Amino acid sequence: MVIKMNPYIEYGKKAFAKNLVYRSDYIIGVFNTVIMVFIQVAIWRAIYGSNTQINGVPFSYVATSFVLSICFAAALTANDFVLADKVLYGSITTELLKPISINLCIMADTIGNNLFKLIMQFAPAVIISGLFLGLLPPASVLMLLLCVFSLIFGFLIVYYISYIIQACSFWFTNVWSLSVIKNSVISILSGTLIPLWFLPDWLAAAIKWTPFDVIYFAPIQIYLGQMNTQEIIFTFAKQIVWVLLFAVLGMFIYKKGIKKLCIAGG
Amino acid sequence: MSIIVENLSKTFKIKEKQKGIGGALKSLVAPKTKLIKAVEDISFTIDDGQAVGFIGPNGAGKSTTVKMLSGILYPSAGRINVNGLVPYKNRIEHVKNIGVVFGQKSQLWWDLPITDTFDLLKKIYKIPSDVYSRNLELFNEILGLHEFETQQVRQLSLGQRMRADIAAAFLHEPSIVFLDEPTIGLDVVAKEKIRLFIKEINRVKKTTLLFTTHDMTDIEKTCQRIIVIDKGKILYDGTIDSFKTKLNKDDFNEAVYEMFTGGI
Repeated sequence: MVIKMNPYIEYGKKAFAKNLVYRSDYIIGVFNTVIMVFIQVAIWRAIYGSNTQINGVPFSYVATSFVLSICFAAALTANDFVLADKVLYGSITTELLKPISINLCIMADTIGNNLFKLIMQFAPAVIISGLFLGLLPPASVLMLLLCVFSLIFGFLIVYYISYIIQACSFWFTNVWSLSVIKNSVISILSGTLIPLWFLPDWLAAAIKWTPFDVIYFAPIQIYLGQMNTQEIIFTFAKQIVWVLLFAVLGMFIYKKGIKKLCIAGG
Repeated sequence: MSIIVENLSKTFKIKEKQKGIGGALKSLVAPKTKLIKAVEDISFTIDDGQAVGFIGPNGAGKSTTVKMLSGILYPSAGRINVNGLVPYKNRIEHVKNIGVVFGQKSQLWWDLPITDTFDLLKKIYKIPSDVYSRNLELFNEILGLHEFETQQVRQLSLGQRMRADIAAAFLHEPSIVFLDEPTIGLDVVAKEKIRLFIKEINRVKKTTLLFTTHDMTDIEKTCQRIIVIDKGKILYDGTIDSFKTKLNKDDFNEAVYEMFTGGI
């Protein structure tokens, strides 16, 4: 009963259903993702040439890594403009007048969208590109499960980075430039552009101190069975610390922003 | 007592922009700010079930007051108590018991039909099913929502949208409703429907109302009492009849005009 009455589930369902309206959008989305995977894999096939391994990494790992990370990156996204639009068009005041948490609404909206993308975009994109490019199976069922869990935390990192940018919209009416910078940083440092195996040592070492390697790349390494128990535990710990850090920072900026809005008038 | 307002003030800090490129550069380096007193030291109380007209010229401070009462604007000084709560401190608890209609802004979901919006509101406010269907029936009867309930909100006319907005604000049976210019830009028929609705709800459900409008007929047809405000200060608080007597006019409209053009 409590669950049935929950308005946030309703928000999530509405977001999910809204995607169904734009059918051509999702077909193009799948197509776009598949092309990205094909191009990346083709480039790396050329780089490998007749070598079976580079830096001790077999080509099949590279192909699997691209198939999974690009498809995940396409499916597990956060829209940077949800809150910004509310502030810009003033709908935030009408939402403040309802007995709901705006943060949970944004979260529900995002989850609704991502569930849609996982089913309707991720699944077909992985199947198509996996069939043509060769997708390695998970190292074991346990590793597959651990990969799924760590992807959830990876998504939460992406979500709260986006949330921080969104919360800045109380000061900057346009967060578009912040969003572009963030997206480029994530795509370069998270391994969706260049697998982190091939980065120069100093850069790979530096990335270890950032949250970016545990968004998509670490879950894929778990999937491939390249991490031992200790490394897996460390990955989860690192993910949780970053999620908490970003969440707390985001909430802090959001609270300040709401206060500013209510003092200056929306 | 539903609403208690004591010595309420709101001051806005406005950035002053100077003329020309030189001025713009100057504002960038050393921004100049100006304080504007939107509401200055006002006090009033409203009893349960009372319908009060809140009138004043543009920029008098009406909307600022309504926003502070509904909790989305923090006061600079003074005390507000609505239903025993401080609006801006207990946001979620406070907004459960109130309804707000801003004529200038819709609270409906733009890309959903109004029935979906109502369903969502039912879940948000946790309205019991029997109360929900009883209210919808009553609102349909007076506001005639059936004609357009399956259309997306973006496709509605202003009059239809406003009727839906008003129904949405009353659906969860709030004990207090703030109506900020709900009849703005509407034709005579739509206005009359809305007045009838407001009056009926006030009578049947004993809902406390604070009604802001520039159409004095709205006030005459729905309210027992008026509060007149200008330049952030209260000029009059009492019944419509004694207001007319005070200004020596038979017509309410003329009396209001007299007051704003410097009668007293």
